[in-house]
Amino acid sequence: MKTISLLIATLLLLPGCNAQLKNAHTVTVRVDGDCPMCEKTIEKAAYMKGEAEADWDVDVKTARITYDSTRTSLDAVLQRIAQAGYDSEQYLAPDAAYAALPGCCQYERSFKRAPRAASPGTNAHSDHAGHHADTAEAAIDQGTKDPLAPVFDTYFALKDALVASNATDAQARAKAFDAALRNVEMDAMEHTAHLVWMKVMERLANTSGVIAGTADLAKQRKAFAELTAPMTELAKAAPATTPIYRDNCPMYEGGADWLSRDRAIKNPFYGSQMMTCGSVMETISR
Amino acid sequence: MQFSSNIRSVLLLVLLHGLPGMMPVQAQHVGHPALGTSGPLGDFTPKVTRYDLVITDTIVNYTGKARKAYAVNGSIPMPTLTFTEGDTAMIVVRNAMAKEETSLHWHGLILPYHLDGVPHLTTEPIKAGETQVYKFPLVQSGTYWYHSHTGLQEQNGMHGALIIHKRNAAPMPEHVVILSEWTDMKPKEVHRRLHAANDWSAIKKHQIRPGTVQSYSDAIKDGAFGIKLTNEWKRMNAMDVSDVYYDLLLANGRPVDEAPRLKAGDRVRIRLINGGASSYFWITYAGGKMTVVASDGMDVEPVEVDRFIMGVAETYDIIVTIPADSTAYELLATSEDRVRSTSVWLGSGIRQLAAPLQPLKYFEGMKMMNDMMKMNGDLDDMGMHMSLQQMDMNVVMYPEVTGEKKATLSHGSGHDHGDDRYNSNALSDIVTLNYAMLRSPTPTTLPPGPVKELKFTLMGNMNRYLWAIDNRTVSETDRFLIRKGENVRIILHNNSMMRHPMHLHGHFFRVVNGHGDLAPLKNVLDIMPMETDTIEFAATEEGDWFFHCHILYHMMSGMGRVFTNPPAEPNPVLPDAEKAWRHFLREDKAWHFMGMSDFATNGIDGEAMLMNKRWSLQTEWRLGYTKMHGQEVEAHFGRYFGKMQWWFPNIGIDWRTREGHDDDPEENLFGQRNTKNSRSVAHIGFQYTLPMLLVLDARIDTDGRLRAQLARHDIPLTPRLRLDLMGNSDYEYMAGLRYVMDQTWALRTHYDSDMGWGIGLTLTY
Repeated sequence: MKTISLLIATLLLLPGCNAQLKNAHTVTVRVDGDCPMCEKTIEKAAYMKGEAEADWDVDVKTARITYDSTRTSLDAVLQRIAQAGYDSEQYLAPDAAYAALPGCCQYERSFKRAPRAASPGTNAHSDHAGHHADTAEAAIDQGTKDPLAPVFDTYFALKDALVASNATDAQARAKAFDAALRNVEMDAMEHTAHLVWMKVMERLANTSGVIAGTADLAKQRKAFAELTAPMTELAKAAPATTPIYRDNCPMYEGGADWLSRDRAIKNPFYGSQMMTCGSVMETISR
Repeated sequence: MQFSSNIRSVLLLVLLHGLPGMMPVQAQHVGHPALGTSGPLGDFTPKVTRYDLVITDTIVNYTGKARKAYAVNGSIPMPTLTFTEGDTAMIVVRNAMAKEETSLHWHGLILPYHLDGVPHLTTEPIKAGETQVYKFPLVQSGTYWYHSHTGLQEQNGMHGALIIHKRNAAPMPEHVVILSEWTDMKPKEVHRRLHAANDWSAIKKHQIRPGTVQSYSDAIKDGAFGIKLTNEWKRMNAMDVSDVYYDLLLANGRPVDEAPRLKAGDRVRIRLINGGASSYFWITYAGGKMTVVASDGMDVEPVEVDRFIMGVAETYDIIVTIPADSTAYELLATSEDRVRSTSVWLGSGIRQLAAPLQPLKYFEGMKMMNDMMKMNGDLDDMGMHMSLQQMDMNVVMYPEVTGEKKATLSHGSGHDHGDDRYNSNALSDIVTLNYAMLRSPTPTTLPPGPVKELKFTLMGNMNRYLWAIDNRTVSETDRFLIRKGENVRIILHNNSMMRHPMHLHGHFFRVVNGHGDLAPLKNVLDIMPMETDTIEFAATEEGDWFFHCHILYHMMSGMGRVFTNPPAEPNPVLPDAEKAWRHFLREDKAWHFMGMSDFATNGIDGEAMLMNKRWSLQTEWRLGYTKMHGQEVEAHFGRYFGKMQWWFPNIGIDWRTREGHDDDPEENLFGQRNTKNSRSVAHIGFQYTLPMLLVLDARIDTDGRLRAQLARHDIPLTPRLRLDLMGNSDYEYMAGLRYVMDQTWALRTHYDSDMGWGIGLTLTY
């Protein structure tokens, strides 16, 4: 098995040397981390009385893990370390666990692979609707090439960051949105969609620049509201197979809209303050 | 091929009545527009797909202990049966076990009722050594499963996936996952202990998730002593999120399942089946959002979620993506009590973990329950009109939705969002699926016809493990008559403290959820405590159809009903209908034995009970080692009354003898003279469960003497330390402390007014 060969290739198997642990095995594993605080967290996560303990070295970023092979496994120890936020050569931490680490501990995640760029038509959203008819299902897998898919994907990611009231994330998402705007394959666009695109492109780019340029959540939200009208126009010109919902929040700035792929209301203007404030005004679909 | 005489007779009957495959089944389904959406056969040639299944009993070892289980073709779970819509299924089932009979039910399939596989109700059980042939046309597509409907066999391996592909669907990578649980304890023993209100299961869970027992010490630790006290005042035992402790949760029969051939960029259809006997599973994914595209085999409009819960016996199809190269993503299934989980790794390479679900905040849940529970045992939804899983009272226990433990308990009610207090989607940015979000892609309106409206109230008694509809079990009611051409609407209300996955055989029902004509079709409805849901279906299928809670131990306790749509011909495989019906009703009439005896330095005392859902025969004894301590035995027999079963009128006998007490006869609290030296009387009286779970026992004996007694056993001071208290009007009293060592033995010390101080070992069965 692959994991086993990985183990043999990279780990040092030594006989037990710890008096407290019976049937002790000691192995050395690469575990990412940055600072002495990381060391504390990693070692605490690995420790289980009578079962396992670890000694992590910040300089070489490796952990010497000693464990009782009759009571636990290396996998179990590495999973605990990953659940505490630290990647090793076998397990990646859940993103939430990594994000919860204090700023100084947010090491560079060398083991984590970048997601494969969503090529047009194969993004996770645009193509799994329409299971009701077999013909529609057949069409899906031929991959309808939608050049605007990355624009919508990044828009929805930005919306999600605002729902989560995370200004830093929103800044990053706005940058990604901006990049998606610039990389649209205009040749692949249908004529009518192309015309709308030419009309709204500049306005979208300007507004995304405002969001990317500020860490002030209130300003970001105000700018985000500006994106709705041009995005709605775009959505209608080139409707995707997955429905897009135009939602309205009657409270924000005397009433403001946003787009979403979720049928459930998640308000990007107020976040958890008023998460479900709003209602679906319109469903845009093919 | 060697067929037994029985199989020949089955085949003969099948031939006499026309092969099921030739029955005009299609004609019966005109009322179901969502079925058979593939249209005319066109150039498709239907074929017969045959499977041969051999059922054996076997020994398995999941945890280091050898245990009995059932295997089909040597496999646990049973093999995945794959068909194509429009084909005819031919499944030859041979029971190769030495003694036991068995059955197979095709869960979610539309088929002639005598092939539905409910022993004695629709189908003859498959006796040891026999073979039965199930042949029926497949008029639907989707994710289904099959399982034994005999006793508790489903728990021990008799469950498998049954997939019917659409006829001309584009190929797409898919992975079938059937979830289940494993317990080293025999299912019969699990069932018996549930009826004994024995909380050993909670103690086992407590070792993994501290706090599960919800003892007084756990409460004090959480600053929730008052909450625990109120809870017992309202006559509730510790709140069970699920009853049974499992040693392992399994995906496709393994603690960890893998689908290594998936690669980055793949969109994969995961066909998930909850084949567990009693566990609900939360599903989360490390590779991003999941798109739900079908439930219980029926397509729904795609809806993107972060997580969803699968009721027992529900199936969901989801589409996920594999985001990056050389990475395996965890699809995590966690039991609702969050004690255990099982994983499926999608892809290969370094393993990206999903965030685990954090331990439940039990006392938040208990506080919520206290608010909802009225003194008479009814639940009060406080005007929230709960339905369709939208208001999940359990969110108060979910740290990821309502924050960490300390923060919320210390702030009183914590989040006060008015009507959104329990709306998980309003309280966090995690999108949780609920039934209101499911919408059928095609209209599911019923054909015109008269509507028969039924109201069912689901109820339960945790202490005695009685589960019923309208306070009646299956054997306490007759069949519900429905007729072709009628539409049946059922308004379900759950007045019990647990959720119930209600399953209807042989039909799909519409879940009336605000989407009008596009109400989704399902065959299992999870209904949470205090919810009211409406389901409706056209009575298109003739025969007997079981409607029951799919938590195996609730079904075995009688939580269900039978719908009968009078068939044109008598059941071909159950010629003696009356006898078969009586046999079917035996299931929930079972008697359970339980007992406990303390072997102490001052004597032997204990009690034993033989009880069924309404009646109980109880006996108690106190046997001294000396003539001065004497010996005492009493027994009584009675019936529980009321839906909470707090009343227990009974008759009994009391016999005792001792020597060397010159002060006898004594005087009791009522001023009556009372002998303990030599007594042999019969009595009549009642027991009543008071607030704080104190049992009042009042009686009058044949000599006219009255006795009133208050007792409470098993007060959970700590997870393992239990207090017993008793006092009565004969000035007898007892106090004892018991330390639970394992499921059988406890260390006990007690003081008894007659026998004095003692220390010993308690045996619990």
